[in-house]
This record gives sequence, C-alpha cells and structure tokens, in this order.
Amino acid sequence: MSHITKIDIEVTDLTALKAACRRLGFTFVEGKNTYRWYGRLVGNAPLPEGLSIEDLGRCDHAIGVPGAEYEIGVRASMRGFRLLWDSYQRGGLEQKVGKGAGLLKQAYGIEKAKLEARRKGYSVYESRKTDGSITLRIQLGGGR
Amino acid sequence: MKKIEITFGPQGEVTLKTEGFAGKQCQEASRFLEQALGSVSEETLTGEYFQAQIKDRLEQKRE
Repeated sequence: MSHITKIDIEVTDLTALKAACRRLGFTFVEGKNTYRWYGRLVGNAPLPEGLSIEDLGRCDHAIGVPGAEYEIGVRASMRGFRLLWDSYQRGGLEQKVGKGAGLLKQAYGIEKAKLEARRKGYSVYESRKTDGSITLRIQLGGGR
Repeated sequence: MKKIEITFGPQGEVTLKTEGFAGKQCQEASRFLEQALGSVSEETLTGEYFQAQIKDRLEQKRE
C-alpha cells in the first residue's frame, strides 16, 4: 500500500446520481422542482446550512423511493448538488437510504468512480462484503 | 501491478488505497478519483511510499 485517503463524498455528477438511483431501484425525476416531506419544520431538526425555511420542499430534481412516502430533493449548489430529505420516520426514507442518506451516497460514489475509471480505460472489479460495504478494484496495469 | 482499491461503506464513508506505485506516483494516479468523489478528509502515507522515496534518493546519490 502506498497511501490511504478518506474521502467525503460530494455529489457533482447527475449521470452518476441517475446510475446510483437505477442501482438502488429509485426513480430519478428530472426537473421536478418539489419533493414530498412533512411540510413544516418542527423543532427537533436543524435547518440545513445555508437554506431558509422557504427553501425546504423545493429542488431542481427529485428522487422517488419505492415504499417511502417522502422523496429526496436534489438541489443545485455552488459545489454541485445537495440532497435534501426529511428523516421523519413516517416518511419512510431513512429505512431505505440509511442514516444521512448513506446508501445513496455509497451508490453514487461507486457509480462515479466507475465512470471516471472507465473514462481512463482502466478495468474495474466490484465486490460486496457481508458488512454492506462495496469495494472497487481498479487496475491500472503494469509493474513498477 | 498498479492498483487502486476504494471501499464504500453503507453510511457513505469512503476509503481509497493504492498499491504497487513508487513514491508520489500513487498520489498522482489516484488524484482524479479523489477529486471526482469529493474532498479528502485524511491522508496517510504508508511504508511502501517511504521505501520508494529512500530508493529514489539512493539512486540519485549513485548517479
């Protein structure tokens, strides 16, 4: 091993996000400018940074999740896209996308890495572990 | 064989490892993925990295 990095995922690529939705069986609705949520802010959840109350429920695209009443909003931001969603239990999203939308971020990361690696002509192999993590092995070829 | 291995956890956590590169080559080779995925929050250089650096220096001295 030469070096190890930890990366915080930032969603910047809609093609990869659409592929992530297909992978998870979600529906990406291009241009849908509202997403379903509880409809009003209650005291136990902080407002997402940089957003006003009026911004909640508004987005540039939306993601439908089978079995969940609420939807995920995809909102364009300075650095790419933000995922907005209501974790209220009744909405059913957290059970499907995990805490902090972790499963959607995982799927996005995989699809984005595959796209970028294949763009460079590298071979990509995917494997799943029992703890739910997924590993991509990217071969660049050649020895030292 | 030069390889990059990326593990995506179910909570969105991502760890990238490189293998088979000499010295700084590993950082150059994986930069496109790190930049594409988001921002690097932590980086650790491993023994292989430093071994390659020492080898490079010894070769430079010989020349």
